[in-house]
Amino acid sequence: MGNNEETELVEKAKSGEMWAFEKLIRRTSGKIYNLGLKLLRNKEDASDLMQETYIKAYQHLNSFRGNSAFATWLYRIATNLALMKMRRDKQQKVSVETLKETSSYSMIKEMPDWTHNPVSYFKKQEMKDILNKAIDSLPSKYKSVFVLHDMEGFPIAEVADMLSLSEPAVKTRSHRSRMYLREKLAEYFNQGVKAQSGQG
Amino acid sequence: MKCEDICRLLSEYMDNELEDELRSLMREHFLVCRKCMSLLNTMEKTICFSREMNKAEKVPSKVISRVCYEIHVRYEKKEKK
Repeated sequence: MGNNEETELVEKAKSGEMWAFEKLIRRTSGKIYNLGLKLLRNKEDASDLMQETYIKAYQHLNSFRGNSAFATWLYRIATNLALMKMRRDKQQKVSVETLKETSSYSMIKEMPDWTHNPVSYFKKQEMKDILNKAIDSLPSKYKSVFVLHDMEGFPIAEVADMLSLSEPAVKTRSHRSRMYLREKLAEYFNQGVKAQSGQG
Repeated sequence: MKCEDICRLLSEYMDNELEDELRSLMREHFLVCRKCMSLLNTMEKTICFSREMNKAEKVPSKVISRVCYEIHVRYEKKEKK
């Protein structure tokens, strides 16, 4: 959507023209739904998050000044709503202490370079499950940084703005999350290599 | 530059958030240190997998319709009052 067209639709929606807001929903819902899937991991919760996000956006439409893209503003609302939901989630999370440890050089257990292994060599679904389980085990404030920065591709500064964090805080959380997930994948690949060599 | 420094600065290197001089020093280190090169490769691949394995899904049209309906019901009525 072009900037001018978006601005025009937002202005019309602000003046109460429902069709304009509906058009904005149709154009941005894919992004918000997929963000919900990544953060909450199921379709029902992603749908509910999408609904809550647009309702809140409509209520606060007058506070949108157009300093960022409309979708970025929605991302901020959706992430904060998802964070509230994730905090209520009782799922076991990895401790911040462990994340600090796995990002320290002296604590890195596995260093072999597994990137040359063809992915098809291992079961893709199994790898996806392990990686997603590890992402889900991140504390919500780490997971949201990883999803926004590494999976959605937002720059550090924008993630900091969306989550009301300082840039150094986002960098630290991003680095620790990456190191932890790398470690989990390394364990998986090394087990696979050991199992294969055991079979030979 | 020590391996510990590489590890600490790795994400900023990947995000292109470092000064040119520091980047060059890290690049030089990667050329001679297999361990750190491996750390960089595996870290980049981890992010790559995370993206690849969570490809975008299409929003079910009934979900979009539900959201639009909900907003109409909540706010059109109010505006009419």
